[in-house]
Amino acid sequence: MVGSIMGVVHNGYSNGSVGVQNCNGVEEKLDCLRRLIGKGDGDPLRIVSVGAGAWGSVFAALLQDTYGQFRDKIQIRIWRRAGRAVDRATAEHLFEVINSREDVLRRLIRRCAYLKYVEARLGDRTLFADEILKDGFCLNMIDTPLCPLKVVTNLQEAVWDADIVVNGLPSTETREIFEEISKYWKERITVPIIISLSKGIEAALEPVPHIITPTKMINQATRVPMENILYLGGPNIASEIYNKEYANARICGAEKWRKALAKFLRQPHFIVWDNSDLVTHEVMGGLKNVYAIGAGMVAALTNESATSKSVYFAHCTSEMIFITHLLAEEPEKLAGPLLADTYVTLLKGRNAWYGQMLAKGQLRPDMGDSISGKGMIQGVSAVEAFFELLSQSSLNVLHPEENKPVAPVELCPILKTLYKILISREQSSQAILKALRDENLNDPRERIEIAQSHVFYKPSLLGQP
Amino acid sequence: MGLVSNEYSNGSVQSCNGLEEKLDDLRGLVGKADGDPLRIVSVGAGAWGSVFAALLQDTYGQFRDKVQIRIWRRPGKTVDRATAEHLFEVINSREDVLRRLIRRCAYLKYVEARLGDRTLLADEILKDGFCLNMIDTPLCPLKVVTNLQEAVWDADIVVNGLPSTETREIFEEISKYWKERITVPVIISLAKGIEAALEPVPHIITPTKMINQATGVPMENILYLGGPNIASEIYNKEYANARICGDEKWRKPLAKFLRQPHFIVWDNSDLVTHEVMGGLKNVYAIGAGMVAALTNESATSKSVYFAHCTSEMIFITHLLAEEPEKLAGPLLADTYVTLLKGRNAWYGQMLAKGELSPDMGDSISGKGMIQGVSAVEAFFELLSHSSLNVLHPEENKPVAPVELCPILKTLYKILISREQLSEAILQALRDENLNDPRERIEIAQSHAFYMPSLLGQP
Repeated sequence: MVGSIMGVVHNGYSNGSVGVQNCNGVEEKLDCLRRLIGKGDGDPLRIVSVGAGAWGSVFAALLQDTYGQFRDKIQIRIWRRAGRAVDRATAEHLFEVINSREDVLRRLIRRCAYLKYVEARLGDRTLFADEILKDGFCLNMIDTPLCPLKVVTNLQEAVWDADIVVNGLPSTETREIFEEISKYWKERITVPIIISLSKGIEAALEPVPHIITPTKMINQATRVPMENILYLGGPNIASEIYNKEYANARICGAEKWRKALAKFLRQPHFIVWDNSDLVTHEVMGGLKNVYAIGAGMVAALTNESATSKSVYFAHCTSEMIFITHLLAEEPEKLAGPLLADTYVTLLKGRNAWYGQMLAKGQLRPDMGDSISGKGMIQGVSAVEAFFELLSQSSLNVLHPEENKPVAPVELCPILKTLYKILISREQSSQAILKALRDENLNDPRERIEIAQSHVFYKPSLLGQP
Repeated sequence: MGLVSNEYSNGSVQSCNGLEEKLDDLRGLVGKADGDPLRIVSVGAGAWGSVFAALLQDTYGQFRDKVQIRIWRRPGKTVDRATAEHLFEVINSREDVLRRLIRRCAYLKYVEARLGDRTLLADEILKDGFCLNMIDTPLCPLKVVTNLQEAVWDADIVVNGLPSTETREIFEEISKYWKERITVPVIISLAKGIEAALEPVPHIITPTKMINQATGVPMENILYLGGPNIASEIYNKEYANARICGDEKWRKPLAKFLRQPHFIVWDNSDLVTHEVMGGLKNVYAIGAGMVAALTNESATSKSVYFAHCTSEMIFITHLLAEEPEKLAGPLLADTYVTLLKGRNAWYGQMLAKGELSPDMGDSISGKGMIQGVSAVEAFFELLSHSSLNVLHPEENKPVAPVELCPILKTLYKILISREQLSEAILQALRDENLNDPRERIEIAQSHAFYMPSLLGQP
């Protein structure tokens, strides 16, 4: 039984990007992808973004802005759960944002959608997250209005006939939601394409210690073959991407889809490269969020000292490089892009913001890792996952000075310290500075030399033989 | 001649015994007998050179019979009225500084200068601890010598705080005063610029090599100290680290001598590569400043720039170093702070905002030498040489290495040939045909590019 469409509003308005790209070029890209997927005339390409965090919402909005004008050929929608209330303070702030943006104000007035925000401002009405998202307001990104979106709150209705599904969920919800989705896909004939934006990971210890990535979770939950599942990652601050800041990203996966999708997604201010190495990029996307939290702590504790930030960067990058030697056969190829992505993740972004808030005492670890107005802080669960994984004695490496086997985590003092601050909570944020200022701390270059002079690569860590 | 005995010392918080022991160890190694002080002179009074001398004075100055620390700078540089007014504000806002000047009867000249009734000189204010390039951060009082011969003739350790563009000239003069020396001095260079020479084969000349050529001091006594450093932050006890690179004989004892609780010094044998990379990062720091200014500090745009400039730097390291991967982490971490803050990035911002223009030169009042500018020219000229051609991955024909470094080319056109404006740096980044920076790294790693002659090695 197909439930009635709850809260679906037909999009009567589109911020077309006509002025930026010529129509023919855009329509041609859409037609290419439609042909590849096998869509006939009159059968629209259906793209659904699952999860309405900042990046998932921006992703849907970018597509809507670019391709939404071709209504017979493509349909873009976004799913989020119903019922999330918008608190009074946020409603007041949202009202300020609306009134400060003439284009947004005009649009709401034209669509007869304005007065509910006045009522909410006055406290006479409670708004819901899915309600405001139709008007283009993402609860995690209130200051950056998006174009209006077609919002679906019924998961079955959202995904049952989707050609492309974009996973905008936190990794901690990915398995659960895609297991539910798989029920609705039981009788599908066509195999959908799934693009995952999620950066968190899980650690599993059986049969051998290994990492489970969000794309692997999706594959296990839905049985969609890995060649149809791709990861899109890169340094991205969602609001900056929507505001046409120049950004780049990489879409990683099997050759069949990744080149076509890279071309489809690419825009003048959003360059998408394609890459075959799905697993490593997905894992590294999670790894950098671990160290972004520590960077935020250092920034707050040293009053934005550039010198202290660089000391932290030297150590965390050497730990990341060490870890890549465990995970990748040719880790040097990751050095530049990995560290460049880390650069922005450390500078700005919610994981770094979270680290700053902890260090300032405005947040505490026991408040959990889902923050109102910010969304899921993926770095927290990633700290736990990497720590548990690298603590396994079956992965022991030879300690360079003590000449005895140790778990890899013993050579990663920052990761250990973050675990003690965030997970076991036996230390406060100041411990991150103490870890950096330990005079016995090795030169970070030594850690890199250790990694490069020994064979550390363990394919089983990424579930490979 | 301008020599003032230091009557006051900001003693270090470290235990006296530990410090005196470190000092005695070094004195023993240098062969100093009782009653013969270890003489350390910092040549050049830029921010880092001044801070370096001040750190040593703060730490070891209390042992007056055992060590003597002095700094040389040219006489005669005047302090302009605006700077004098600002300096007066700094002094009056710092109670400790104000008290110190009053106690030493050295305050009233600043009042006169503030009122425009007197012209102060840079060497004059440096005695009181004010570096002209770093007015906001008062240092401890320093023993300032303006006569070069008097400063260096009997020095045991010379610290090169000069810009690379002045290093050869000054050390050639120093070599005249050292003609009759019996002992061989130790020289630590802080300079980050480089020169390119094209004969007999294209190669890089580093400041340590310039010093070696000018003075004849053997390379085993010349070391390079580099790292991410914002001089004022280091003096203010921000936690920082650095690497001293050079021959084993001196680098380990000097690392130990220089190390402080908030200033960690590691030692490394690879002198040349670290010195060159120190210069290379300043090249890209200028571009980072431009991007930051042109995009209103967009973190996303900065990361795009970082991805491309780091891949160019990695590509260049593959030409210069036999095992370039070992540099990847530390090089990029140093680049992080150089891109964030520092005068090269500041210079790029000022150019992009139109507050400075390239024809104003690369020595800026209040900031000092912008080493990145001459380094752009040096690297560009070097990598443009056809004898260094590499195979272009797509066009399958030999090209000069610089053709695979679009950011370096663009910086050259903005800063040296001046045929483009700062906006060109954004255009270079936004070229849709620009290769994925990872491809550049793969190119570098999949071919044998290493050319030892570039660093003057066989």
